[in-house]
Amino acid sequence: MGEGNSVQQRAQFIKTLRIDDLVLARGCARGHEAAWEQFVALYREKLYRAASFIAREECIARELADSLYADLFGMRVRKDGERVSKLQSYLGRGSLQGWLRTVLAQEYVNRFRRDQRLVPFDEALDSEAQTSSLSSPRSQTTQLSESTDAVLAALSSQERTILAAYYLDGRTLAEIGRMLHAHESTISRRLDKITLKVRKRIVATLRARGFSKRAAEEMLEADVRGLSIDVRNHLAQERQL
Amino acid sequence: MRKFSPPLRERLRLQQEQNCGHPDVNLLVAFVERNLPPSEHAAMLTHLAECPGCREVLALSSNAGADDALSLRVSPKRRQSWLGWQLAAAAAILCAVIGALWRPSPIRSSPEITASSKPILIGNPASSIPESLVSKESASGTAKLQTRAKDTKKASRQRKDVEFAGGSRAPSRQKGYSTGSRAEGASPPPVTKSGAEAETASGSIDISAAQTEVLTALPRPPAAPVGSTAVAPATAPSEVVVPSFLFSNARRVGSAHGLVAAEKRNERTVWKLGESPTGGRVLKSDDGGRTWRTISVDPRIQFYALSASGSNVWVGGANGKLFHSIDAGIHWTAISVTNGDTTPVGLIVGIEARGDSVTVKTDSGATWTTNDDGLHWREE
Repeated sequence: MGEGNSVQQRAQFIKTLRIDDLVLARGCARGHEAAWEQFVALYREKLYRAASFIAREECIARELADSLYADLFGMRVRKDGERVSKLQSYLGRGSLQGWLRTVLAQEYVNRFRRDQRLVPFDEALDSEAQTSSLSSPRSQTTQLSESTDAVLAALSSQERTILAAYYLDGRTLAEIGRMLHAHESTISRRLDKITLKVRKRIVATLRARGFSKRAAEEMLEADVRGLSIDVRNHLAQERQL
Repeated sequence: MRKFSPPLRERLRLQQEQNCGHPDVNLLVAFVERNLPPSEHAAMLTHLAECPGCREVLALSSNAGADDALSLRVSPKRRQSWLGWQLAAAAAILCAVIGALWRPSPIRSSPEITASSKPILIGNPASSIPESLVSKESASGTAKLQTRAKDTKKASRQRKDVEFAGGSRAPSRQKGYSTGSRAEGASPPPVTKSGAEAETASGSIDISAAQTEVLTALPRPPAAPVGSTAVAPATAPSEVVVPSFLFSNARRVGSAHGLVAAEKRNERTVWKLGESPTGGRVLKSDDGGRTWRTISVDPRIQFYALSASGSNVWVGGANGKLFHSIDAGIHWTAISVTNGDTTPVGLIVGIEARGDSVTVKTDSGATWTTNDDGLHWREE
């Protein structure tokens, strides 16, 4: 915590720490047998179950869990002979069980899902096409993009997170609810509100730029990517001629 | 259907940053478990809005937690799991077996409400109070429950005369029920019904405890036979009378041990606080109050208030402690009731939850409200 925090804030911070879990983690990191016995009894099965849920495929889940288990135990040894255990990085700000799940998830995303985060080739082309269409000044696409960017930037972080999780990541309402600790129905209501708000504000922004309401709504519905491809194909055909 | 057209989706995607600095895993865990102070929570949200990688980690971690608790695989929306139909088939077989084995209890006479008092419904509209359990003696000011002769037709006619609060004729109610909550326009609390009618009972349950003495009058029942439910606690619980100014309907809220919050849409899920000391536990029934199981929240805290709506459950008690579960008690999160400068003093004795908005009341008369599921609070 920073120096500027008040005594009450520090006290509040200490209250939120999971002291029991922290003690257990530190004991395990130092190699205490009793601590490991308790850790195994409490968390081993949960670890493997969480890995099964995260990875879905049994072999990947097993590999993930075994790998983490080894890291937790501390297979690497420093020059002074001290074991390097991943449990040393647990700070007690959340539960140990949650920490284990998150570390598993992080490892899975970094190791096995890295490729899926790369933008597919055709989408990259579409993005380029859109960028090139943006270069023509004051085009409808430019106007729409600027308006959309402004409206999205004005949303709160939570609103943008909900939008991104639902429309980009494809998460279900329940999954988003668990991420943000809100009920599924709450997320559903908020999503409806946000979507409506975004559309209204974009239409209002476009109308302020001189477009009619109908034109603004049509622009909103047009698939920009489709338009870009048609233009490229058209240009390609012209060149052949 | 939500309309978020492709152009909007495209701009949203372009705002995502692929190569951004990521927060420490400890902060991610603290975020999921709501252990971050507001400033850090806001910073985390800002990062999550633009980082698909961290969103994915968070989604996997938080959903693995829910799955871990249930010990069941949860198939995501996009994937088809062959387990799905097997689980459905298993559930159907189980229902068939239960249906074949279950025999409705003989229709017992309905208890009669004396003129001066109304019974408290402890979460189970279907329970009937066997004659052996009804105490003929009453303490001063306590209600007296009388049973009539076991006459099926007569009892049936009597049941038709008794309005069942929260039944199909009852007016619409608020979503959650809490200590001393009022059911607007509610009819008088219902009499209990026989087990045969439990399945057809619909609607919500009025838990506004007008009288606590009924609880004290009833002795602890012996092991209840199938189809009936013991209603009375073992010993006379100490009564917590909350000052009427805390609640607009000015009703006494009854003892902490008789507090019940009932699920509106599914009357078979019922919550209550146990006998004092609650030991940081709440009791949950998934069968309309026939059987109860203990859910441990925090053994250090004595609870005095509970509110449940769907799978959203709030429970509060000593030292201004408040806990929230969004999955019907599987996971609990300690909620800091604070406006950054002060925190509630004393006991939380009332909780009223309506969607994102939650109001808690303390025994010192303070009222705290949140409109975002407990992230920010203000003292009224």
